[in-house]
Amino acid sequence: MHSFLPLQILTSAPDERVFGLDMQTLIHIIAQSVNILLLTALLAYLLYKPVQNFLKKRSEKIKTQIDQAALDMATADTLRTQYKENLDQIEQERVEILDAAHKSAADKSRKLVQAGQTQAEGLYTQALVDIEKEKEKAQDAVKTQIIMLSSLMAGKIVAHTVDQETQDRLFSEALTELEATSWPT
Amino acid sequence: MDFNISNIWLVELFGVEFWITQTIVNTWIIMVFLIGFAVFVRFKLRKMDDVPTGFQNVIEAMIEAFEGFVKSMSGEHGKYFAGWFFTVFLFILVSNLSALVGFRPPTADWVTTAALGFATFFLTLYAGMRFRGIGRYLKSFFEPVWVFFPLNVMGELSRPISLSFRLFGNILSGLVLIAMVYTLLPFALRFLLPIPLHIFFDLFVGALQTIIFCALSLSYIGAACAEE
Repeated sequence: MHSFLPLQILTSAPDERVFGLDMQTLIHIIAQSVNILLLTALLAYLLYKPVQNFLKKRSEKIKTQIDQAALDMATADTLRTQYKENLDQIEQERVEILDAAHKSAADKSRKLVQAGQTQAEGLYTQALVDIEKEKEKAQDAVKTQIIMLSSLMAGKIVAHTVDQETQDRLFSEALTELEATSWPT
Repeated sequence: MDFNISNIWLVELFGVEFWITQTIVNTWIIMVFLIGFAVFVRFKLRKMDDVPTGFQNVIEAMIEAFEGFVKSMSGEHGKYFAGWFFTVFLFILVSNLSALVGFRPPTADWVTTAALGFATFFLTLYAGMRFRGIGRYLKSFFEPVWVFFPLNVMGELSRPISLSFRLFGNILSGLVLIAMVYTLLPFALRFLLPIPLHIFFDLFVGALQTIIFCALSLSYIGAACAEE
């Protein structure tokens, strides 16, 4: 049937055997290789690749979620730091405002007290001046009253012996003496 | 007691005649089973949830465990070949376990294990050239000194041979031993006594050889990709 000797051996090979090394074996190896390649392609298409792709996508998704979570965490940390800084700043401003208010109130209070003191001192001085003036007025009035009284008494005593001219002279002398006298203060 | 691989029918393709053997037919049956399983999984997981439950959990755990296995055996570059080895792993495992239901495992025929072994061989060459560069990879055959070139070439060529014969020998030996026990036992005892043998040879050795084949193949690829 065939002129090529190995192929003659092939077709004339024993029907059943466990092991052989001939053309039949080579063809069977090729056939089995084709079978396994075909099986690999089908299993890869139907089972391995879809599951592998799914696992890969899920891993990437989880990785993305982890990355996003890390990013969110970092953002949250930044915001928290910023918030804390703002709070610290607000606290500092509050302290500064309070200090300024305390200081301003103290200044105002001190100024008011000073003004009050000044005013009181002025009033006190004025009062002392007024008292002094009143005292002088009173002294003058008393002097005048004493002189008038003395003059009346003297007039009554000397009415019979001293004329008008002498009376005026005596009055003037008495007045001069009285003026020379120092009054107790 | 017959350990031979049956020839089912003779086919002529491009003027060449060859037998469709029991191995090839069993391989097709296993392929149909695995493809059916894949279709079932896709149907069950047509809408996958972000939070896996039940069946989705099992499939995800299976894929993730396999990717971890590939990465641990061959490093980062191994992930490019994970799809191939996922199929090889499932195929060898189901083939080995198919003996439990009375199939002659395709892996008990050297043509299947040779196809897998040579696939690893070519993948190793491809991985080495792709990730290390053709020049640097070929240069590695002359290391540590040029006189080692023949030894390095032989070492490289021996890998698919050793890989394929290890798997073939282990599965065939289990098959032969169990067949002998079945032959020697009286008919009444054939339903009970071989059970431990099936557990050991089909389940334990079958799973172990699957892991060994994939682990060795991946380590060869990892070594080919690795820088000196």
